[in-house]
Amino acid sequence: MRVTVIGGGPAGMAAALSAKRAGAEEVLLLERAERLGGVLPQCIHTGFGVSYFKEDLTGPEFAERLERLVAKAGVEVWLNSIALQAFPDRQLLVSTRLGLRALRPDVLIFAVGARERPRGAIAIPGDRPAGVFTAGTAQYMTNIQGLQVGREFFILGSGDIGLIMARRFTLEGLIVHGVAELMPFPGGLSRNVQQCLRDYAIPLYLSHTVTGVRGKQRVEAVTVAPVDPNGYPLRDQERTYAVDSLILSVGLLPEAELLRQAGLTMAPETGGPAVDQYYQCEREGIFAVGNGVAIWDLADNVAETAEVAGRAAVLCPPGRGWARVEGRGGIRVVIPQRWRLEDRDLVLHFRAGKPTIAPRLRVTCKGQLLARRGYAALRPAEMEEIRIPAEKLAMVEAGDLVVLELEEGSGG
Amino acid sequence: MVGAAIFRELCRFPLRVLLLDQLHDVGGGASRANTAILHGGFDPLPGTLMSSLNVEGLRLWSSWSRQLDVEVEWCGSLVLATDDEELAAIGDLCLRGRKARVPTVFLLRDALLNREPNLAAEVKGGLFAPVSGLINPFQAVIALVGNGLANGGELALGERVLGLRKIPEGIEVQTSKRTLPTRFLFNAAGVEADHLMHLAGEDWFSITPRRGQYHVLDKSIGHLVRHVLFPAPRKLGKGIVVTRTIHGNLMIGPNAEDLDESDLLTTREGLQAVLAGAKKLIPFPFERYLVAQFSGLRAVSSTGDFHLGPAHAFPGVFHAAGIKSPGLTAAPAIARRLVEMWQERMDLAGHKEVIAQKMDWDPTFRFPPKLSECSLGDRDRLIRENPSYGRIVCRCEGISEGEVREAIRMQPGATDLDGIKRRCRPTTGRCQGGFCTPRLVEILAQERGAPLSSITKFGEASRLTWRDNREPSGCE
Repeated sequence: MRVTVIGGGPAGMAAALSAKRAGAEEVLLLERAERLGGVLPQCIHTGFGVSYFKEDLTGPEFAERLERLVAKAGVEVWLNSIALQAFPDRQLLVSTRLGLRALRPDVLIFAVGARERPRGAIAIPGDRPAGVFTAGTAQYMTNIQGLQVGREFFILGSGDIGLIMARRFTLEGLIVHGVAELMPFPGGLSRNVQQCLRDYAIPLYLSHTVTGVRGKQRVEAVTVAPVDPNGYPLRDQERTYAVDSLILSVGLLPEAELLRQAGLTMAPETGGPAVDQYYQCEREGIFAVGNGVAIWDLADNVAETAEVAGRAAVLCPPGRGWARVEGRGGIRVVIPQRWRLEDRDLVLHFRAGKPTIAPRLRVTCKGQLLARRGYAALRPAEMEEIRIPAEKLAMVEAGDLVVLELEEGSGG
Repeated sequence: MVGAAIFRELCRFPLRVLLLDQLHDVGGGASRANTAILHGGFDPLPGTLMSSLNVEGLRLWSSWSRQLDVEVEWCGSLVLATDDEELAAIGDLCLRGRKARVPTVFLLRDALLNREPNLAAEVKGGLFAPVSGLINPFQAVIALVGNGLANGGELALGERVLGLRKIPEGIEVQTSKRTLPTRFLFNAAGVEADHLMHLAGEDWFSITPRRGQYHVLDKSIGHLVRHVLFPAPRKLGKGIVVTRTIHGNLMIGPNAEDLDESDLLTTREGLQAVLAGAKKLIPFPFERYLVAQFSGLRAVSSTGDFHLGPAHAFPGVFHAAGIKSPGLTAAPAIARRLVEMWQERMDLAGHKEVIAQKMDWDPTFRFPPKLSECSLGDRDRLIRENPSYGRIVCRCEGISEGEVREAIRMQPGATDLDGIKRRCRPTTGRCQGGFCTPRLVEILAQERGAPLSSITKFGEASRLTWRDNREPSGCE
């Protein structure tokens, strides 16, 4: 069996590794950059690998470990190789430094990662000078290229990379004037809010947004205003910050273009393809893993999803039908969106739409309760899970709808 | 665009021609921020320069675009009416078009829907102009200048004209860098053309910068429209247009705001107005597909028409002023007309030798290879000859390292990030440079033999970074 994995980040490496270990004869890993690792080499902070390697590592260390395992397992790696086009029959057109290549593997695993939403996606008005960066771009330039992208910063969006960069800039001796978050709650993990902002006394302005950028050549100032409950800025309360850089951490989106070309439909809540519990897409032999499916909290989660898919790509018998899975009533994202009928427990990953204290979650199908669980709290920034026992799932048939929702009256 | 077209035309003759621009790249003014449409020519009032030069310019572009390797697409345009008043206005346009000999067809709703299935329910009828379309305006300027350079012209960037003085041999131009003696001066200074006219002693003409804001939208919704869609005409310009760019993005805009001083801000209100205007033609949740916003300035003249011709009291100076829309379409005709005026003068003065075209003048220009336009076989061959064509740096638009290097090496070459963007498009895609900016900075620094920290977005003080932490002294 020939397996081709697109993307050499943590998801792609983990998928290739597990496919190889599961017995695939030929596993090819395509990476467009000049090295494996994806975004990991620029993530020089710790917090990686706690669950996957049972050890607290930095991003580059996590990448190196996986890379060594990939090499040892005998995975073929093509660097500087980008998939230009993917077709529904798993044909793939790849551009390499040696020429174009056409491939048609038995199994295709997309591990294409995510991209950051840029300024244009949220239409921040004002001038268009140099000095507006997405957090990941600033992180690459700071940590990989060794460049100082600015001296005084304002950060819009409290996504994890933005929080990490707030700390990073501070450690570089630069000034971070504040972080504004449109929502009334932070977008990043609680531990990052604590360790990257509070520990360094960087103010976090919830329900605030950047209303303008000023500066004809380089950013000279940004204006920031609180927003009303509908997200409209209250311009009379606008404040001006004299900074030379605006950093954006306003969300990640799965890079779904190739998958769309391959004829896969996208789930609107995630921006990625709909997958089953083995991360197989709606077409046999096509899998999608990692942040290319949905945005996960940690590289560890990403690697774990990929491991499941890599193994399933080789070992899984054809399914005997699928049921749909849907989140409702306060549940924003559910992975998987499809359940391949089988006699095993099912773990659903989900995100709440807003912070909720002491909620109870229930999973039902055709009016029957499959699982129920209480949580101390749910936060949109944190992906949670619920396990449904196999015996409960026995009543679910192909074409059925499994619904995940918060119980009314629960939470606050 | 106008200056570049004049430059190309002047370089046909045995002259020393210098193209001067205050910015750090060519085409950095109105040419880079407009609707990028080749207008049919039915809109301007018949009898005006705008009308005749639009029609002539359109005809010239169809041959110049082939000579100069400039991307155009003749997709046609529709002017749409939603009520009786607008239908009447469209009727007027149809008559104007007839006078200007521009073919147009009036279509009722059903026929429109065959052409544009996504039209708003309110649209009652429209005017179809088949001979109009889209152009790549960035490429057009670069090709015009590149053609002039290849034919012996010279280029000076980052140099602003501060004063003009009459001298016995012609004109002395005081720039921000030097004093330049010249026999002739062609003024194509865009929104600042009136300023240059003042320097030449003419106060009767003035230009109001009219700002227009735009949204560029994702390629995935580029198929929403097939033609350029205009609303029925209003007082301030042609209204908010729904169109595609030549590379397949949807684009909506511009609104119209008259300014006292040039200012390229976008505003929340302006951008909202653009969305609202576009939805009147195509009801669609555009705001979910935003990619970029920009604004451009149109040079609106106090006379309501283009002004072309020799200066009244300053021998040797020729003006092309007040060139707003359809200036992009008219640019080749403007250049031809102005150069003809100059030729007449030279003829009368007995200088026949300089108005005969050079024997070796080459009308053509070729851009370096564009992978997206190559067949797979050609692409494969290119990569085998030069592996850098196999390494994609801009993943959204699929632009290779080789293309970026050629954009820097070509004449006129890119010297900053926006220059690369205008030549071969990296940073124009969905991620807006999130992934490729660091790569482009590296390639540019390498090609120019300059430190990473010296790279700018568009010259001068638009630096991307403050210093290189790896250099012990930094690079302040």
